[in-house]
Amino acid sequence: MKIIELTKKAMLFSLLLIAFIACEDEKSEIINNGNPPETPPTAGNKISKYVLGFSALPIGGSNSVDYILSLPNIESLTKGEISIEGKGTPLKAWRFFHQAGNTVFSPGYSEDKKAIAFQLDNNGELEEVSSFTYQATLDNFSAVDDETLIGVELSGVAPTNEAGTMFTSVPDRTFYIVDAKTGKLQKTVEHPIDSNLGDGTLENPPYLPWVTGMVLRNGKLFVSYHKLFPDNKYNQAAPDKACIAVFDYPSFKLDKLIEDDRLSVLGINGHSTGIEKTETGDIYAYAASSKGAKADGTKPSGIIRIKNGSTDFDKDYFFDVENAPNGGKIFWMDYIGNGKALARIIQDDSLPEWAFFAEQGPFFKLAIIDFNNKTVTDVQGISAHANRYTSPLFVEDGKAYLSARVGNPIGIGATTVADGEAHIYIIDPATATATKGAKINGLYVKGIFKIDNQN
Amino acid sequence: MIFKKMCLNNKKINKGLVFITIVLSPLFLFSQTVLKGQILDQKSQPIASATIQVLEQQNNYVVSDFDGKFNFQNLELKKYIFQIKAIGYKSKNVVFQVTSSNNFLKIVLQQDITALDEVVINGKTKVDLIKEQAFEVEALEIKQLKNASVDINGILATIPGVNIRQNGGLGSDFNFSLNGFSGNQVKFFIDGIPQDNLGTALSFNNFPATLIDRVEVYKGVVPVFLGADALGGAINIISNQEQKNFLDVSYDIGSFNTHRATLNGHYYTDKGFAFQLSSFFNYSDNDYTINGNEFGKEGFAIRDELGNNTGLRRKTAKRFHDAYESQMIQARVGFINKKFADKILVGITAAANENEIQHSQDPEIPFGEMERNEEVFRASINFLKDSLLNGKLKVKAYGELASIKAINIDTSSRQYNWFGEFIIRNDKTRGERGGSKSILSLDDSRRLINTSSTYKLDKNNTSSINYTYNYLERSGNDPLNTFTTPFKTPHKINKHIIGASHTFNFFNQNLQLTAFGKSFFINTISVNEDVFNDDIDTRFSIVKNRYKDFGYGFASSYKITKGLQVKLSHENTIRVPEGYEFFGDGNNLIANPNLLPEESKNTNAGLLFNYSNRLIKVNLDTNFFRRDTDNLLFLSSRGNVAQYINLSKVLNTGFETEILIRIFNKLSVGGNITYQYIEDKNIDQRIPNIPYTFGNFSLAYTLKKLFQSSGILNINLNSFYVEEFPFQSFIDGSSEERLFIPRQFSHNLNVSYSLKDGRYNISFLISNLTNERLYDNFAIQKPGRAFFIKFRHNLF
Repeated sequence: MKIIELTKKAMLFSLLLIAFIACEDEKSEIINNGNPPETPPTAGNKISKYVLGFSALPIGGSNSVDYILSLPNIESLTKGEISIEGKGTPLKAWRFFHQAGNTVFSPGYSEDKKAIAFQLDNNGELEEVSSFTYQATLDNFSAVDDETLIGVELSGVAPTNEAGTMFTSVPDRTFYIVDAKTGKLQKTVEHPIDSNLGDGTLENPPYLPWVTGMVLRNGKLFVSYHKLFPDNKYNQAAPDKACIAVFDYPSFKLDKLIEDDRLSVLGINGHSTGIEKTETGDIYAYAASSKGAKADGTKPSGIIRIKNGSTDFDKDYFFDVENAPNGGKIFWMDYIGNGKALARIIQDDSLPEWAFFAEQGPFFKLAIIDFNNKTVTDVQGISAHANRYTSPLFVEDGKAYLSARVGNPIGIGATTVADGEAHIYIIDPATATATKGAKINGLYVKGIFKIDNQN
Repeated sequence: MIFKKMCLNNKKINKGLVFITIVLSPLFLFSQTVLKGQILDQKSQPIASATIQVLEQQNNYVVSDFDGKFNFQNLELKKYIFQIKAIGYKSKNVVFQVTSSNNFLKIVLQQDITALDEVVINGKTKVDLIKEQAFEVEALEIKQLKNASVDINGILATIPGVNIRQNGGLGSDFNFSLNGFSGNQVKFFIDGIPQDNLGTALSFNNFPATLIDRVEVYKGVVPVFLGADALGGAINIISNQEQKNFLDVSYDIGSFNTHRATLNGHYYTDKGFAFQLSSFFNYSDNDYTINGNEFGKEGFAIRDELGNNTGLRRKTAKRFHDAYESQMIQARVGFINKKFADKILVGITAAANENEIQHSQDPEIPFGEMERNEEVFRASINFLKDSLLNGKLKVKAYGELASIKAINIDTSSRQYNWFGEFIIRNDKTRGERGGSKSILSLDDSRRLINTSSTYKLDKNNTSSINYTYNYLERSGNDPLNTFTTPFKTPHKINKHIIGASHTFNFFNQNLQLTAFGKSFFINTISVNEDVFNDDIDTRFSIVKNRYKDFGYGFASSYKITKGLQVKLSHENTIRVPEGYEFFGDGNNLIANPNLLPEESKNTNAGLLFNYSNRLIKVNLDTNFFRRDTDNLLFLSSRGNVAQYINLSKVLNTGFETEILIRIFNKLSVGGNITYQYIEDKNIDQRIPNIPYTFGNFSLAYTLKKLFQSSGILNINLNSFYVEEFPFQSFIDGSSEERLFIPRQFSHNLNVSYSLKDGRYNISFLISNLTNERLYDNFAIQKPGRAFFIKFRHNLF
């Protein structure tokens, strides 16, 4: 036993000795090798580039990885192939991409609660200039002008009492106001937008607002939204109502809530273009009335208007897209110019909830919507396709550039992503034709932006 | 189908009857009988590979098995003289009168001291014998490691083909991978009983090595006695099976306020009463220092109150919410060596853990209050009869009822940073991880039946059959979140797995061939409710599923010479999707009733080489493997919901090789390396985020008679190596920007001293000796250098 004690002591001693020697300075010093706090703009050659949010093909059992990629010229979009092999910056988690001024923001979704701001440096290289974290996922964004990106944090749930029989409150939503120049968050604003507790019961349940688009016009911020049941399943509480909140901006004082019964809920969950402004200052908004688009309703899919100068729906304007010649239900729509918009029209509306959000499948045809003449013209030169668009449409010289993936739905039968193909299509609204541009060696392109280094 | 055919065809039935009659007739026609027995050493340790020979009848002998047991058949009712021989022991002659029933012979052999050193070198260990099976199996004896501060995962990590990726310190989540398969594609067993769905309180990182005797790792091809739909292989942990009294306590203390204790014992009376106890306690603060939370960036970004990057960084932080505690107690009572059963034990297990969650899969933003607690209660019954039909038939049965409760607590409105500071969220509805606060408890009820029987036709033919029934019911409850509770309406899954195999021996037992088939019958049911739906017809949706599938394979080995053996094995195997993969969670994971099982064609070709003389023993084991997997599940997102779909087709080809050299029974040097090339065959790209080259190296030195005649000092140096591997892609992204999990090369040094034949043991471990920054997962740093001291006492 003596030996044991001795050995024990010897070992304890050696343990202490090693621990003492090994003990490092544990004080955590502060270093400054991160992003420089301020980079003073220096005059250099103006370099502009096309910046893409690019989703790679999923490999093995992993989700698709998002990359940010810069391309030198428009030909990179119209010809050849767009590949991230050996190029581009990989990012973590599923991401949004939005542009404000000369900054491309990439806010992470769910797992990654951080927005990264990218700009071109003096040499025209893409660099991360700043980042901000947020308390909860931001679900919708809009560059309301060249200086400001607004993000809004949304939720599909409301708290209940302990017994789970009653809802107890509906928390406010939070707007994030971001400076495009510096990439920094300037302030947050909490607001209920349009929330209602009802009496908290299942019979008269609460609803919460789910924003689908934001447009700023002459100091008024127009916000289109769904009213959702708070059960986190994104079910519509008021399916046959078009709702817009009008705020004074930048004070975020609620001016009024406007509603219209001629059509169903405005915009699509996850899309940022439920509401759009034309050169004339008129505002247009669309409703899908589609279960597969998670925007159910019984009214026809169509478009309504708020005229320039007005903060009310134009009672004289309603475009029934669903029943128009070449028409159908609108899954997505974005404005090109000259009173014309590009839309994805649903081919088979019998598919189940969320079906059209899949990355591959013959879900949509492409159409030019003429707001003024109320016409729908099929775009020639593109097959039935899929692609979700969370970023606004890229338009240059009156032509629209968008990514579309052609192929059958994956995971059904033996169909995989390898059986589909994605391309950039260049759409000329005047002729309603699509030209197949560069092949996308990936799943799809989430967003196309053009920025220069003159900040 | 086969049964149906047989019923319709009388001729076949007749043939079958004739066959059975012929096979069974020898058992009844002759008055010959069987002698069972066991060969033990002086310490009641079983001696494997001993020969029991009828004196002066050269060809009339049997060999004892792993447990020292033997069955001598076709003996006449007379007095025999048996000669018992085993390497390293003095041979012995025993006189025995064989009677018509209950012949049992217990033989204790004396160690041959003069030949002792030679013995350990020349003799075949249990592990050697297991490795010589036709299956591609890796076995490891724990004896040496029982004194070390190590858990089962720490041991499994040293096996070629195995890679374990850890998210932190003691009790942290881990991903076990075997030849590229991971998650529920690899199945875990303890003493042949499946452990799936038992939760994290009983996962292998909780079990200190002290509690077990041996691990076996079956690669790709799994014998039928392990009844499971294992796509990529199975791990079987063998607990102490000796029928010998002992009581063993250990206590272990170390860095980060780590404490581990075990109490483990067996008690048997002469009359056959048995009591077995096994227990552990683990605790650690896991508050080790880390050097960053984002990859490739040193330190931690300091952000202003809005969350903007200030450009300043702090160099280090300590993990501050990562403590782990777990405990288990298992008691079994019953009888052994009785006429009605060789073993019948009724047991109860209770286990629990409390786990602070420091961060999600991405460590950039930490949690400061999230917790997960689990509780497991299990009642079981074990039955073994290994001497039916004159010792030819062995029957085993196991039944279990278990309830597993897991509670995830996410109720904090605080958003923490890595320095332990926090702000209060604007939206008080939200938790740290979830979109709403939650105290989600998942209640699982598991029922399990496992029966197997082995019939030894003759020396060269053995048949076995195994049936496993696995029932799982899961229901969820969340008082804070009634409307978004996953598994709110219970989900049920029934799995029946029937396996049959036959083993043939040819050419004087030099060629061994096992052929097997497995049938899977699975049905699942779930009801989902939409509370806001007033339409009674569509308010409830029922998701049901039924599968039938068949897998098969073979394992073969051939001894070319005494020291050289080749092996070839193959299995067409499946894994049936788990409950939640089929029917979703009733929340935002949506059901996919069309989901198909994952399928894989697994092939191994191996070479086993042994050489030994008086001084040195060399083992070399090389295996080439191919895993051709189809219909792999993929979690695909659709807007705000997700769904499992069958998507990927993956091919993994590779090899693993291992060498172990023992010199003078004092020094041993070993190493292994695994290389695998895993490719997504849909898009022809290598799959990232899986280690593809990794290995272990070990150096052990034993010094006997140190300080005291019974004193033994063991010094072990174990090194772990994992080559750098990409996080997202091998080719995508610019080479400067591509993200990698860096190369790991770390060493553990263990010194242990034992006295009185292992009665008193003390051991000292330094893990991560050179204080490397180690990462298994992207940006999640593992502990730096740490110290542990362990005391172990074998009371009797």
